[in-house]
Amino acid sequence: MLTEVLKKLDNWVIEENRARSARAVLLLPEVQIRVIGQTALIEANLNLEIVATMDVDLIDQIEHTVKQRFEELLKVYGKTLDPVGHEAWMPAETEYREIFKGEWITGSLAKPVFIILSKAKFAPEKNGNLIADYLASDALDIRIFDLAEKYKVDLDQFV
Amino acid sequence: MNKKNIIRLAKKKAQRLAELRRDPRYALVMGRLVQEGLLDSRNIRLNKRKLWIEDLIWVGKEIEPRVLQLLPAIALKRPGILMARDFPRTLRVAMNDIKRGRDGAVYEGVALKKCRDWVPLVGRQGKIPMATRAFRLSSEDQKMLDQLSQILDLSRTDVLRKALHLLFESEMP
Repeated sequence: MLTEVLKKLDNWVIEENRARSARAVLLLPEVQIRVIGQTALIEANLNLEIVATMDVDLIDQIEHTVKQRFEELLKVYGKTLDPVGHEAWMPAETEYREIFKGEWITGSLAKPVFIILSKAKFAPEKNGNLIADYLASDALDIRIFDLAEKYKVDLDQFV
Repeated sequence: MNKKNIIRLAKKKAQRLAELRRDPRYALVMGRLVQEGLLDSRNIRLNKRKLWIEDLIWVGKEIEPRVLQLLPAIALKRPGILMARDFPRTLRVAMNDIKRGRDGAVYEGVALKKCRDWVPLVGRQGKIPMATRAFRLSSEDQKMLDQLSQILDLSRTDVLRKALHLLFESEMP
C-alpha cells in the first residue's frame, strides 16, 4: 500500500513542479518520508500477526502542501496521518530501510527492532503480545537485548 | 533473565497466542473491525457479521488490547454492529463517562481517555455523542428561551449553547 501511495505522491509532485516551473513559482522541495509505528511493521511484511490502527506515524514533519496531498492519497486506503506522530520516541540508533525512491519523494520504514523497542518502552500494556510474538519470531533482531538494556526496558515482563 | 530464557518463554507465549487466534471469535471480531476500517491487519478474512460484545471483550482481554480501547466508541457510535446477551454494566458506565467527559475513569483496565480518542473515528467521522442534562426553569426563564429561539431562529438547545459560550468567553480568563 505505502509504496503505491509514495509513487502516486511522487508523480503528483513531478506534475506540480512542472506547472510551478512554467509559472516561475517556487518549486516543492524533495521530501523524505520516514514511517514508524504499526504501519511500518505491517509494511515490513514480517511473519507476525500485526494489528494496527488506521493512523500513519511519520518521524519527521514534512512540507505542508506535500503533506496535504499525502493525506488525500492515504485516505483512499482508509488511512490518516497522525498529527502528532513525529512526537513519538524512537531510539537514537534507529535505522530505516528505503522502500521507494522517486524524483522528489523518498520513502523508508523504521526497522522493526527499533519500533518494537519504542513500543516496549512507552506502550507496554497495549503491545505485550506483539512484543512476545516478535521475540519468538524469525524476524527477531538480537540487537533488541542490548537496546533494551541501554534504554532500561525490562523484556521479562512480556514473556 | 538471560536472552535464551526470554526467547524460550516468548516462544511458549507465542504458541499460546497462536492457539487463541485460531478461535473463531478472533477471526469474526477482527474481520469485522478491519471491514469497518477501524483496524488494519493482514491475512484477515473480512466479514459483515454482527458481533457479540462478549466476543469483543474476550479478544480485547486475551489477544488484542486495542479492541478494548475501541469497544466503548463502537457502542456509542456504531451500536448496530453489536449484539449482547447481557449488556455489561461496566460498558454502559464507560459510555456515560465518555459522553460526560469524565476522563479519569478506567474501562476494563484501559484509561478512558484512550477509549475517548476513538469516538470521532468511529461511525460518522468527527461526531461526538452528546449527553442529556435536565434543568428546572421558571416560567419567566422559559418565556425568554422561547422568545430568543423565535427571534434568533435557533432551537432552544442552541440558544442555551450560544448563551453558555458567550458567558464562558466573557467570564473565563
